[in-house]
Amino acid sequence: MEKEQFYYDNKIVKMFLIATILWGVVGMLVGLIVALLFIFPNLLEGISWLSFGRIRPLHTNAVIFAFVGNSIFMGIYYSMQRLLKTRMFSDTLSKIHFWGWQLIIVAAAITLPLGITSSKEYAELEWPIDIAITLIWVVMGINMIGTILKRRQRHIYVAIWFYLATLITVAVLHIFNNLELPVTGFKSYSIYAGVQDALVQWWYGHNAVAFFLTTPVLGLMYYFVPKVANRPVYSYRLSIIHFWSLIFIYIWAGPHHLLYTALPEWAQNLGTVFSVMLIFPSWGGMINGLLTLRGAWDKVREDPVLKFFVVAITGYGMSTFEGPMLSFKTLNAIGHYTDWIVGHVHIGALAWNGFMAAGIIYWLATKLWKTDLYSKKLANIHFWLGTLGILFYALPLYVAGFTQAAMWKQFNPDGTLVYGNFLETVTQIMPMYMMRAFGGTLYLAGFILLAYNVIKTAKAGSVVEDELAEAAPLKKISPARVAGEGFHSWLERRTILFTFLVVIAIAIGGAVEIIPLLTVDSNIPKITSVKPYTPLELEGRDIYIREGCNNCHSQMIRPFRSEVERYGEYSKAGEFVYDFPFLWGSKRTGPDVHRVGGKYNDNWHFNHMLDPRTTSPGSIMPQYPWLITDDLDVSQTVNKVNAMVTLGVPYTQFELDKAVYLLQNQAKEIENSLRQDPEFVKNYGNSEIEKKEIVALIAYLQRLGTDIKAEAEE
Amino acid sequence: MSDQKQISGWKKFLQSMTKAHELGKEEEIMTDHDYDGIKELDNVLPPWWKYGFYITIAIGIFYYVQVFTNSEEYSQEKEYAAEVEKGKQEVEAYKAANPELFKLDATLLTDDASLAAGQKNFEAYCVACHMADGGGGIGPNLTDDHWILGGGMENILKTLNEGGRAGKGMISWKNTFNNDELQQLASYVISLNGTTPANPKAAEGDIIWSKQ
Repeated sequence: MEKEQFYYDNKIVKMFLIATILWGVVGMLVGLIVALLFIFPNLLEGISWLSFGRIRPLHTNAVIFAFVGNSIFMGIYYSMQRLLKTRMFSDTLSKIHFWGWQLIIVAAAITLPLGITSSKEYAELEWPIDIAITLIWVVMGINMIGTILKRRQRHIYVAIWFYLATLITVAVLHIFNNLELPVTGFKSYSIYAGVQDALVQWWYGHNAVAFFLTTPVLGLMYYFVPKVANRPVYSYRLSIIHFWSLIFIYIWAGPHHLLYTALPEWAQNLGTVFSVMLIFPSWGGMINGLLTLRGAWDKVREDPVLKFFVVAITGYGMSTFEGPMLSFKTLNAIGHYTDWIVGHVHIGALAWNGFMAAGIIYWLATKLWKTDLYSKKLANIHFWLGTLGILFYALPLYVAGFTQAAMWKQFNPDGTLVYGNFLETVTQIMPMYMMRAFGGTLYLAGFILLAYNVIKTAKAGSVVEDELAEAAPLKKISPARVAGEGFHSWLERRTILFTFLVVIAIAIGGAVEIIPLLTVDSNIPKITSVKPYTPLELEGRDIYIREGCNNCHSQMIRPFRSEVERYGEYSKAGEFVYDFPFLWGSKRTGPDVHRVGGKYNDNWHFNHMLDPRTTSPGSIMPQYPWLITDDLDVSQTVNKVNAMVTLGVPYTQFELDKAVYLLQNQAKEIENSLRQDPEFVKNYGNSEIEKKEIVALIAYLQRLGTDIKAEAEE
Repeated sequence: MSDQKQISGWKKFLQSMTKAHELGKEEEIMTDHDYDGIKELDNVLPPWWKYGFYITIAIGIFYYVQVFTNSEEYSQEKEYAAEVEKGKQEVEAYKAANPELFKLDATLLTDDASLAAGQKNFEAYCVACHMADGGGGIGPNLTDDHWILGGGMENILKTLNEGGRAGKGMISWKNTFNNDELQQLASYVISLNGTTPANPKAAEGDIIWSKQ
């Protein structure tokens, strides 16, 4: 057999490795700032682009797409070439993928602080960036498929299966969740409204966790764990079963993010049962990872890289057990909207994603720069700092979540709430927030040690950009060779068919849940008194979106006695039919606002936005002074109303033609009502407040949840 | 397994649940795969894992069939209605057992301790709208003799309990304060009547009432 010589592309791996470290530090640093804002809400006083609602999505996007994203590409580009015994399909495509992705991250880092957001969690980036992501993802896809097709290895290994599932599913999720109608260069409206938007969003959000944070990293695990431990993978058949069951079942579980909401219950219950069925497919990955280390535990004591892997895989096992537990309605009723969820996702992020990435970086650094690691001791210190950081991060948040949930629900024997003032439940858990910030600091400190260690290693070594390898070319296989071949082994040679079957597996669950909800009207009982927003309220809603209010305030009152007592009548599906996009939120750092309309007077809202602590002592909400100084931009109002008409909102021709006029009238009314307060007249009487952004936001807030009251009166 | 005699029942059970092939004899179940030097064993699915998976699938099917066929019984609406009903009965039972707690005492308190307690809550919750000296801001002036919703203990307690005018006035405070605290607060508000605040807001309301 004639062997061919060729070169692996190490340069691209090195680029992704450096990007991973850089964005890791940036993303975690932003996370730390966000954590500190809980404790010092005035920390960045009055700087609009550093306000909590804008940098919280910056943190999530940076950590998910910049840090974990680059770490995945680093591992994929390294392992894929070696598993397929070939250089990547095209160096140019590799480079376009790398630089394109970094540009997207930079675009995110610029637009999110500016308040350019679609408001949908982990899909906040606006439509031009969404298109760019799609294009770069396709570039990566062509590069991956091309590499698979020109391979010198007959079968594709389990890691490649996971990479393929990632490639396909992320593309599908991203495209369907980001279908939006552009209004301007940086503003669009989701084409789905209310309940439908919520389901599509959480089909996406949940499966971003599945196919961006889980499957690719499982693929990396299947390559790097046996490689570093120098042990065989524990069970080939387990990898087959858990791969197919994982990708098929995961897709269905999205609705577990929407339990006890206005989502129809047939969909909620599908979310619950598929989450329960997901435990073992996930654990299959954990078992295969940990048992691959059987007989190598002495190495684990020695090698920091394996220590990182063990904690990562264990964290994965914990998260994937906790997720299904949280999907039981009983526990979800407690955990939803609280910090328990934040603790849960950070076990996944810090342990599974962060530690897998760290282990791989340490190991790759020695391979790429052909030298020993600069300091094993520092790597060990990083390991312990990180582990302690995870504990200090997650445990206090579990306590905080349970505490707050209990406080929200507690009744006095006379039927009043024990903690009628939401703020009491926030001040109660302040110490937990401090511990969380401390844990995050430890974790970040450890990661900075990694950066230092890698820089020192790189300086000591010499980089090999193209690594020589040799392998025999693939020959046509003779029928005799494949006699008695198992089905799956046969499938592993037919990559196109394999890919097609993956598409089928991931398409079923989403289709079964989403299509009926989009097409069958009885899922969303109509409420006739629910009317479209006025032009001013529509503008106000866009300010609400821009400032990221939905990061801390939900608009979904669950059908619990305690929530109805606290907030008012529970939320109905029919109330959200004009909400493009939906704004239910998923965390209550502040109270729910779905029925805030008419609860306070306009002056209260005005003062509350100017300085929340004047109306709510002890509040940790940011101040929004710029809403009072900045003029409301009405240049796009007509276009916005028009966009709504395109999406099916029944505005009259009059409302369309006179949108700005109607807006100004309503703004003037609010300004007049603000004049009830002599302090307001004294300080802002001549400030033309009717032209400022604040009036639009007040109009929107005063409208929230009031439409069904009209029905009650009919 | 070699050497069966030496092994305890527990160990046997564990072995039967994992069926992991013995270390050192792995060649027997080594596949002929080689991916960049990575080899794969062909251990059987661990029985505990396999049965666990079967059980969760069974639970899933059972759960879904249950809630789907009895969707009336398992609906959120029903669950909510039951919860509210139960709460209502508990509250009524408590009211019946402790009637004295539910009489909102509208007697004006004038002792220093009560007024100090009222003042404490007033300064924590009310000053955002009425100012510390009751001179008014977002909310009306509490020191003059004009009242939007009426003065005197009865009216003030009613306003505190039920809130002011919809969309204009204040929220209901009945979930924040108990009856004693409400009585203290109302008494403190009345004690402000006739005082002179620093920046009095113009009088609002057509109902005239004064503590004199």
